[in-house]
Amino acid sequence: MRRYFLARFAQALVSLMALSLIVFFLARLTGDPRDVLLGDDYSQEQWDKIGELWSLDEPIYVQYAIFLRNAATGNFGESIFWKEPAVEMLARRIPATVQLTLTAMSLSVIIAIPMGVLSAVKRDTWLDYVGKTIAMLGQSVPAFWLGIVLIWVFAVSWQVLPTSGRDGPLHYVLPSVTLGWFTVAGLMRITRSAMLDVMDSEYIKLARVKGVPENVVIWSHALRNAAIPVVTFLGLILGNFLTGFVVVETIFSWPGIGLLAIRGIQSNDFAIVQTVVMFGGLLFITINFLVDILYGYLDPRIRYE
Amino acid sequence: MKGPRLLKVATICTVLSLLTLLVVSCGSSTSPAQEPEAASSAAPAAPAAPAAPAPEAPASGSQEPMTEAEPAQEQPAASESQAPVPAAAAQQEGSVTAEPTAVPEPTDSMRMPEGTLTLSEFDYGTESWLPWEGVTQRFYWERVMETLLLLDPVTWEFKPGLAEEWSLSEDGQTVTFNLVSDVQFHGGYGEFTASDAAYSLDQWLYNEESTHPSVAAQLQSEPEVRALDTYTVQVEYTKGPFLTAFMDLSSGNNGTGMMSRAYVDEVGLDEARRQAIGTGPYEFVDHKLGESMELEAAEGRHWRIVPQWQTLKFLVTPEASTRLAQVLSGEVDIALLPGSFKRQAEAANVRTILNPGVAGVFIVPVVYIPGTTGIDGPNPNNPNANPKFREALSLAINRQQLADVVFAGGAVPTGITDLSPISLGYDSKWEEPDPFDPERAKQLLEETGYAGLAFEFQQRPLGGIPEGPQLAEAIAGMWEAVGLDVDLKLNLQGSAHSAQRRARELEGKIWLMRLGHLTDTTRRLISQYRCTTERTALFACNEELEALTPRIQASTNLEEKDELIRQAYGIILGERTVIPVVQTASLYAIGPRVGSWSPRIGERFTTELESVGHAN
Repeated sequence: MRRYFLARFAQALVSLMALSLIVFFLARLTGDPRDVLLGDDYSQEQWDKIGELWSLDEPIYVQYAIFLRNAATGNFGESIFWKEPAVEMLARRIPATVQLTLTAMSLSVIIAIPMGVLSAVKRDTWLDYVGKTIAMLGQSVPAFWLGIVLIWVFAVSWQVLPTSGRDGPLHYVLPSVTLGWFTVAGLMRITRSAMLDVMDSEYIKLARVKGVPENVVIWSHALRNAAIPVVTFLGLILGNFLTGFVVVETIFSWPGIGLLAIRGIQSNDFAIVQTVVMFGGLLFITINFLVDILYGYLDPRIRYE
Repeated sequence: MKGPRLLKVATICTVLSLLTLLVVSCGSSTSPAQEPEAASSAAPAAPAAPAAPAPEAPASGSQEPMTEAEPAQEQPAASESQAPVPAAAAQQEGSVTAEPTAVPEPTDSMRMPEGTLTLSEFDYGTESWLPWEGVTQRFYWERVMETLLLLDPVTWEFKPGLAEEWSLSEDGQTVTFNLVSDVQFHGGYGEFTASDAAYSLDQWLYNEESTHPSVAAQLQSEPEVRALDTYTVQVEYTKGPFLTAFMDLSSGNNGTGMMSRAYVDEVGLDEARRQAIGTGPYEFVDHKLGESMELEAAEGRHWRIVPQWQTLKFLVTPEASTRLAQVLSGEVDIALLPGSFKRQAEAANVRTILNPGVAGVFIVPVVYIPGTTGIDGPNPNNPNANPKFREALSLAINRQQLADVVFAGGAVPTGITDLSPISLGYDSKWEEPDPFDPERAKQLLEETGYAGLAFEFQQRPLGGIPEGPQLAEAIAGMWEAVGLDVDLKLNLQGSAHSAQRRARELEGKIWLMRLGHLTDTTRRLISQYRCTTERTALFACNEELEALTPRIQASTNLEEKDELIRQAYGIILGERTVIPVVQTASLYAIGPRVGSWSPRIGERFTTELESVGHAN
């Protein structure tokens, strides 16, 4: 297991380096940031001043080395727009995104896994059809549409929930449902198909032959073996959620990372955009690493390979 | 059996975390400790009273004080043609087009402020409370910090603000403001004096972060700011006259708010950026960056105006549909919407006000790039240099259709650019655009031999105008309908365009641009419309303009400068050097709690909030 852990850790480090390269060079591929910042009417003095401030006139490898050195110390520069360190601005947005993520994830797990299991176990019954319908709607209804429809129904027509913002528990309902809706569908489908595979396997038959109660067969034996794709999917979704779901945060004016990213992009705030992208990449790498480790625990064959 | 147990534990943990989260979030609305972005909601501790500034030697120069009763002499001549509402901005069916009304003066019978007025907008710019950081932030800092002069939304004339008298020396180089006395800063920071005014003006002009375009123009005349005595502040432009100083220092679309020097000295600029102290009708209460701001009516009776609402709350809501929903649900009283939401808002029976003249969208045929033709002037083979070709381009455009369809009624056709009713040189006759006359356009193209001409039409992202690509596509379609061959480049990013600019590859190309209005267009005239300027792409190179611009720059008489700029724009617009298309508009959705309100014409954001009335 130790070797497995070290191998995955080394992979994570390589991914991190690759990420830093991509973030740095993609930002430069869009051209000289001064073109965007200074607009049409600038003096040579302004051009040189910003170049000096951001080391833009240094050779590209020197710029990358400076970027790496600063990134290692958590310094991604100051927001051009808000005049605050980009990392501090990101840190302030994390609680809002984490709260929304946990609410939406909890909602998804509580609804989707039992429904996925029941849908597989009660195959071709009304329960299965209901599950499949929800899954289809969840995957085909876009979040921006669902969010606006929910606002108009629950906030405008019925006036039982607030339209937007983050002031109290009621404000969590609509964004969590919108964010969780897609995940419920995906998670349910994956749970169902994984369970169907597992339920046909020999060891499940053997458990039944041995007289193990059906509930134990389903929820203990089958679900554990069906968990790997489910955990993988949850890991990816968790990464997506934690980097801020731009659409949902924008519609509901949720002051999280996604909204910060979109404001950064709209105002050409390179420091903000770079920080958010690096944070997102780092988060994905960490979550993938943790999911890999979890695989090892869930399936002994993986850690012995 | 470890696996099943693990799953059970995980499920229980998930449920518990959900419950915990809900409990925590219940407290989040009341616990400031959980909101690190929130600036302190308590007013800062009162400092020791700031010492009165030491009087400095008065500046020389003859100066006639100009008071409220006689401001017109030093303003752009208010002619009949300077109607405040552009002619094309006719009232739209089902909504109201903004018409200015006078801000009420305080009277004893006025109702005291009550209730909370909630506003919702796309964003609030840099959200800085330092007036010099950004252009569009004025609408919120104006509530807390006041300006030396106020712009009357009815007459477009300047009225006393924190300065009760003001004057410009005969040589146009020295501006003097006599300040009102006994005006107190919020939070116990003492009386507003010339020291505060001089500090605020100096920061506005010379702070490294100062970004307002009017500042750059003033710096060329190297202004020096000084407090002459407790109630007199003076700005001297040492390198030449600066005739629009009142406009550019004081109010209108430009100008700076007066800050408490004692407060900034105490907390520093970083803190002052996030929490303001001023003399305005509202006091700062709270600001969550990127989320909301809250202001309260200043304690006691304000020296100038009694606001109608006790609390002002500004919400950041990026999505326009959500902002409309906020008004419909009663959560918000005034929401700023894109003009294209006009029909949607009316269909939902929401009261709306359309405020035209926010920014101009126009077409620029690039005429001349210095140093590329090998001759001293525009290349005669460049079709853009031919006024008849430019006229054909203009006549081929159906502006009303663009306003009605692309902007869904949220814009108005226009024949003017750069200038608003408060600008020097403005003439309302230019508001009337060229007619839509495709037959005449075809005829002109035949006459000039440019029928079937192929050219590149670049649409760069138009700040604040998401309809840019659709607009460019529609215009290209109209030009193709008169037989032109348009190579449309949509969403050309700044760096790609700048690369072409630096490589001097823009001659003969045509751009779609957006620019705001300026009170004094001298700098724009010099940088964009002269042959001899150090630019990489020019809108024009015209002998008459070439002769006019140095005279405009050197003029020391405001009326003369007004007339010269009018002549310059007569040439620019008459020869279609630029081809104005539409003026974009702001659309406000108004909730049922709001009574009368007239925002300032041509402002993108919500203004004149002190005068927003209660419904009944």
